[in-house]
Amino acid sequence: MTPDDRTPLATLPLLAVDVETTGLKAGHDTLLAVGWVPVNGSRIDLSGARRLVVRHDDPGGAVTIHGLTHDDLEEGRPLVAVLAELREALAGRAFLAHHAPFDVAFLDAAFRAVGERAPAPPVVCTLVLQRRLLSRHGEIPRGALRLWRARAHYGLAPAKAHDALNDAIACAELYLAQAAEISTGGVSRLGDVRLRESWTQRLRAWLRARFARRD
Amino acid sequence: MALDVELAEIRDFLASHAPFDRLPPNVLESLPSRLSIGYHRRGSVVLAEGSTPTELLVVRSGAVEFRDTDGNLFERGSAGTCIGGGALATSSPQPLGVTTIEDTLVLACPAELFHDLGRRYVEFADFFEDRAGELHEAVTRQRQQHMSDTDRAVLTSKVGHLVRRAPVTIRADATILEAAQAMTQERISSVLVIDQEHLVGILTDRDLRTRVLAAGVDPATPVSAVMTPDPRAIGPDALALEALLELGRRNIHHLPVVEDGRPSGMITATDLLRLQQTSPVFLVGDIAKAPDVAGVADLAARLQGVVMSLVRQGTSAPDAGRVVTTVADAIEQRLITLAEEQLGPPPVPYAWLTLGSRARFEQALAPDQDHALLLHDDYRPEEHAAWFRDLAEFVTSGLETVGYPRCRGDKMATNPKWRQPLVTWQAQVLRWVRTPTPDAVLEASVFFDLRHQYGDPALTAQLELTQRRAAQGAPIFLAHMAAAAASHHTPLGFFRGLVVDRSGEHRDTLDVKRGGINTIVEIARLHALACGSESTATLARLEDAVAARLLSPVLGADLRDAWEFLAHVRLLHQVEQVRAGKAPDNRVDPSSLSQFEKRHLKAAFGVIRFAQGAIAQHYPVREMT
Repeated sequence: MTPDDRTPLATLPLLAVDVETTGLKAGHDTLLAVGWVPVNGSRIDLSGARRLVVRHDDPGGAVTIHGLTHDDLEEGRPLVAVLAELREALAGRAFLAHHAPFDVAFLDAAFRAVGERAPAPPVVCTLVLQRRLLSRHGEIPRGALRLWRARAHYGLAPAKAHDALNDAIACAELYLAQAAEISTGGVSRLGDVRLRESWTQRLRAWLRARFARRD
Repeated sequence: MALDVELAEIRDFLASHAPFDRLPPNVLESLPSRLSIGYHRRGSVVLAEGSTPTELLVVRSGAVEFRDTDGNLFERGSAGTCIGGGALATSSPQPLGVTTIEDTLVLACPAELFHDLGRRYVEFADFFEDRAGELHEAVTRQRQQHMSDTDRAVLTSKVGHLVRRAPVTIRADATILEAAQAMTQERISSVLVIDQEHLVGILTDRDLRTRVLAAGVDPATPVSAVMTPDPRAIGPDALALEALLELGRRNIHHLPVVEDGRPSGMITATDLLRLQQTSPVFLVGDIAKAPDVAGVADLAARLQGVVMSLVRQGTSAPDAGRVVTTVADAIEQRLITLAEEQLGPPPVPYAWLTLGSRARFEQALAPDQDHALLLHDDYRPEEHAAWFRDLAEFVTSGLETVGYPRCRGDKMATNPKWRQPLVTWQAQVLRWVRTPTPDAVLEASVFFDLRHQYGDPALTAQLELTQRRAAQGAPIFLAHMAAAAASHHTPLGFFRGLVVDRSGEHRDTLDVKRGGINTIVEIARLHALACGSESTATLARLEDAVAARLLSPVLGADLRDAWEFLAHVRLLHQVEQVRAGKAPDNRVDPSSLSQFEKRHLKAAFGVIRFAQGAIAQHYPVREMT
């Protein structure tokens, strides 16, 4: 059952997700790998940690920067299978990511590409939470919302590897720190932290879905 | 590979912390995916005292404190600290409350996995069950590494290890006269010539003879004109054996040691020959034959080299302490006989007493002097004082020349108070014991570690008997000693490279002597006096105390291990200092300690604190303070 706005953060199940792509434009650039790790309330469950590489027979040139070799990509799994596993992992959970709209957009595009309807869980974005938490103290310094700077704010160490799974774990740890801070004022619930889209964003998303195949 | 769960960072983290570092690689590999991660804000309770833990927590980042119900600090831990393991292992309630002092990320290992690891890997289980037992194991391992053959030294020693002092160098534009003066002053037979820190030549005694004197060269000429340019040099990592071959092949006696073009020392043929004789037996024999104080001093300079070579071969700290003490005894005895040769026979019988650490056979590499003169009761000051004053001065200044600084507390035979006939010493002992002021306890504690060194042993035996009888029947004196021993601040452990004590204060150095070794020495002395033991060595005293049932066998064994471990850490520290050309001391930089050493030091401190608490029960300490 998908958690609703009244679910307290202490018991809220989420799935921290991070995508590796060839570029920044969803629908244009390619999805290379997806990493995720479940968060159960205030615990990150490493037994559910996954990093799935999407199979690409001809991945082009710019892939090695992600630490993925051509061999990795050729041995990866079909996009359909990766997405099916993600859908299963996401069942009953809120979607958690740092700068979540980026990951959501890529995954939505991927689901559309295989002719499937994308799951639509509640979304929690650690970047937005960080902006909200920092803005209590006045103006936000440049770059303070980036994942590694936000983690440093909570004394969380920088990770060495930057792949989809490690970044998903990094995001999940940041979320635990943020949730602990948010909850100091009393019980907080999903409704207090989830991403709320403006009506223009929702309209744009509808138009995108409606005319997806136009170009 | 593409499907693998890459949790390498967490695996590597576990692999670098005890007790996970004891698990085989394939087990470590499988661990991270069975853990979870939790987060605790600063000031939150991670595990309450008395609660039953359901998982082992390992601090991943941040820091925690362990305190008892009364709020006493027991431990402060950062990354790698385990929480709840002891309670889990013994299925007992958590003995100490654990609170975060920083925002803290923890890795959680479920109880089921914890027990499974404990069943399969004894080393893992041991870590949580018996810290003191683990210390014992570490000490046993040290003991087993005892030196076996001295030949190995020549075969395995590196040139860098043989270098005992920074090289004496002179600039290429210095005059021959200046070079000769420097060599005379430093008592060396060769000097290295440098140009902007780089070795450019060497000048030896032989060069001064053949190329200067015999050739009639003006001593005001620059060294560069007569030196051997670009001399043959060797790196610090070369084997001593290679250096030996090199010297023989080229028929030279000096080989500069060069690191990155810069000279770091000098190896001589004598150094290498000595290497084959780094047995203390040679040294002690040579000292007994030394013709004068300067001769004794020359031989004494070899002591540090002997100890370094013993340590490299794995000698235990008690054995090293014995070697250092034996050599020091030989030096002291030789100085006394030299004094007698000069002063003539003693007017009345006497005994030269060695006090303090050397009396316990526990002298470390940072030496000092503690001694006293015990005179026969026929002593008449007006006739005999001068002879004994001269003896004391000769030996004391001789020891100073040899490298033993004078005692800062003036507990030496040169002090008239420490140069007394037997009756006066006996009265002094009784005064200390019957009116134990803090000063008296301090003085007595030095004087009660007493050993006969030279002269009439019957005199020493009588004084020792007086001491034993007096102390054993003086509960108030013993209580004062107990109070002193119980009052020392023993560290709790380490936190981010600093030493933490009960007040929660951090220090950047660990004084192994004041913070640990001395307290054990005092506890052993206390019990030894209480049971009338004749031993002076700390380990022997602990044994006597166990036999007299003043100490439980377990605590006795734990204290022995703690003492040995601390002494071992001090020995390695001092050897390292000597090697680096520094004066040896007792202050260890915590950041130089390995995880292994820190863990066992912490266990040793725990044993000492426990023993301090135990003596408070045995002796009425509280009434005294």
